[in-house]
Amino acid sequence: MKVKKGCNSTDAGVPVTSEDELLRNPVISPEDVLGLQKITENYLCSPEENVHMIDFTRFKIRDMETGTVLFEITKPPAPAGEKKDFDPNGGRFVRYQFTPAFLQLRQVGATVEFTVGDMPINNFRMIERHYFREQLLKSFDFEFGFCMPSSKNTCEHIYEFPPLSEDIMREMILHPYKTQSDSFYFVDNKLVMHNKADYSYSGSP
Amino acid sequence: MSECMHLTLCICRIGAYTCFRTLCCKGQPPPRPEYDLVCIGLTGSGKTSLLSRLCSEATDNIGPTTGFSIKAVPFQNAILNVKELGGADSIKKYWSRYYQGSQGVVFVLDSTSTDEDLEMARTELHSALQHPQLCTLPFLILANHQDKPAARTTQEVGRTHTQVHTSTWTNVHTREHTHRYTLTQTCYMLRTGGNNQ
Repeated sequence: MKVKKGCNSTDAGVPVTSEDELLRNPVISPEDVLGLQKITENYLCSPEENVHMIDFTRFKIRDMETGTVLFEITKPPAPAGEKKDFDPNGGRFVRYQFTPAFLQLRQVGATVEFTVGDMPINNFRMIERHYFREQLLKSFDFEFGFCMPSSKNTCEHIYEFPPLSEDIMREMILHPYKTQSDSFYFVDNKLVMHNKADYSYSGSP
Repeated sequence: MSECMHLTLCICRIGAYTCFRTLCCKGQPPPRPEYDLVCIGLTGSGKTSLLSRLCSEATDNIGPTTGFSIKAVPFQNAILNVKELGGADSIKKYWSRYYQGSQGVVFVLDSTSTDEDLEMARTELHSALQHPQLCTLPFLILANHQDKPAARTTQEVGRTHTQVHTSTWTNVHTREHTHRYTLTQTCYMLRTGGNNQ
């Protein structure tokens, strides 16, 4: 499915918003997060707000030009009866370690697999924003649409890398984990999940 | 390889009639055009396996699709964003929730299925052909599992489509606004050699 590639909130005609403002709202909408200008300090919703029991179970990235799988991770099934080890935000953050060559890629296919609880979901949407320090690199807006109850679904969307200057690429390589992203998930235009990630391109941990 | 080339050519032909692109000769080659397709068919017809093979992915541990699977299938001249839907009864009832925005349909059927199953496939196919959101779109019908001895040929598959529902078929073809390309193509999965066939 085509990803709506927005960039800055000014392009989208959406007012600038700040994390503090949004945290005061009872409900956070897609337009709210499209106005954010930098990575959030905090999660904008709690894990309990995921009432539809959406669970991400697998993630894979491949280079669209060669088909090479660059990265793949599967969530192990939680052992039955064992209490989860307690970091409530543990499942909401991923740290990626890539080599500098990753920044030379033009088109990457990112596959996400997720399960849904026993309620159908009418309108599932993801907005993901990538920043380097305080600069918005790219914003992706993807509508999954309808999700059947008790389903397991996979979706691959194509990310086109934004054109990056040599200077920015050099800075991104020299400063691991200063490239960060917020992934916001909405059901019927209400924020239900918020995941975060950071990225290193220096090739070493 | 020939089956894949055939499929590539067919899909590109189908895609080309809806869109015309001018090649830009300056700078980087333009990104490949993308088309949105929906892929349906009864459970076990081979939808997931076919799409995985087209993406050069392993097809050994594929189980029934229990929801949707959206895949970006790359070809030299285009990328097809295919929304494949599970064919089980519990999932079929939701198919129409996914039709909006499609530019073409791929219908996969098992050429070796029983007459009863073929009848069921025919019913689903006709339902899709007449659905308001799909009725003007091109359809590619893939008669899969051709490597099996019991496989029916394209002619037999085509014949059984028209036998029982002739009037419906005729109406579909003569509707004024329906400039529909419908192509029935045989295919099968090569299990050895790892070639992208």
